[in-house]
Amino acid sequence: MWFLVRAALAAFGLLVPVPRVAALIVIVVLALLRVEIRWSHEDVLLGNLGVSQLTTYTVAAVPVIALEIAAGVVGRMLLGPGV
Amino acid sequence: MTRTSHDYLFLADSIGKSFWGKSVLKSATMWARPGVITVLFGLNGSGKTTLIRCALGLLRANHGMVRYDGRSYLRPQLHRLSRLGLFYVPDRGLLSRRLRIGKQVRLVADRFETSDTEEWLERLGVAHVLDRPLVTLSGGERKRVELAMAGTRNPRCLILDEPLTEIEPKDRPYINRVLREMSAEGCAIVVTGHDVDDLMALADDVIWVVGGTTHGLGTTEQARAHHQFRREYIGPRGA
Repeated sequence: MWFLVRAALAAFGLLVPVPRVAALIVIVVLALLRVEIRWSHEDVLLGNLGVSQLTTYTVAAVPVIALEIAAGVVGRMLLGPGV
Repeated sequence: MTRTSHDYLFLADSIGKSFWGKSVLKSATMWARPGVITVLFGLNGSGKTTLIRCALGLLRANHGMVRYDGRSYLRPQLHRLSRLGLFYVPDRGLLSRRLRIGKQVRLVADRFETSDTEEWLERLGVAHVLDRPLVTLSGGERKRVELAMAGTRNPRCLILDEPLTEIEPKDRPYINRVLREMSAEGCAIVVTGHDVDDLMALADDVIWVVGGTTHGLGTTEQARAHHQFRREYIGPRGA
């Protein structure tokens, strides 16, 4: 559900020409927030395995961000270029 | 006997930490020595967990320095320390809800190429939980699995935040015995908690966290003889 909401936000953001950069920033911030919430419990487990927090969050965030941008692009293709 | 910093495998020195202007730690110090079990006592909210988290870089300290294995760190990071043999078991739990227990234990074994995982699981009586998800484990089983993971790691330094919480009283001496065996093999161990009797039976060295600072009280006999510690922390029962 949360993903759908953010995908909708991303689609909306990419539909509007001017604030695309802002939309991307929102996508990245929301993705990082989600990754932080999902992975903050595992950071000690991974830290004990010698994995840095930066690596953890980067690896976790990249697919989330990519998915949301893809959702935005698909939304734009389906709904047109917007304003 | 005077100790130097070379006696410590791990030393977090003069750690200070404030949250939103409220000082939790003014200048606190903790240490771990090979073959010694150091117990960190302190009331709830005294800053024990904050001290450990700052010492391991999970919180950024306002000031202070960490030494581990002869290297100094102004900004320590858990993953760097863990590569040098440190293992940390937090009070909130170490295990992930997203992976089966067996997978998590194997992660540690594979990462550090150890082969005595089964032995540790058997020793701690949790070999039967490997295929179960975390939510089906009791608090005591979780703690024992975490200790088995720590044992599998074969750490040089083990830091356990409140390991006896949720452990049945009848199992506590058993956990203590496992920690004692690890210590005898040279592991530097730090334990926190409130169970005075059990932890005093375990401790070689006592640190008291109070008033935003720490007092190294020495052996359990010296700690019990410390008038202020007895009066303000352990009370008449432990005297």
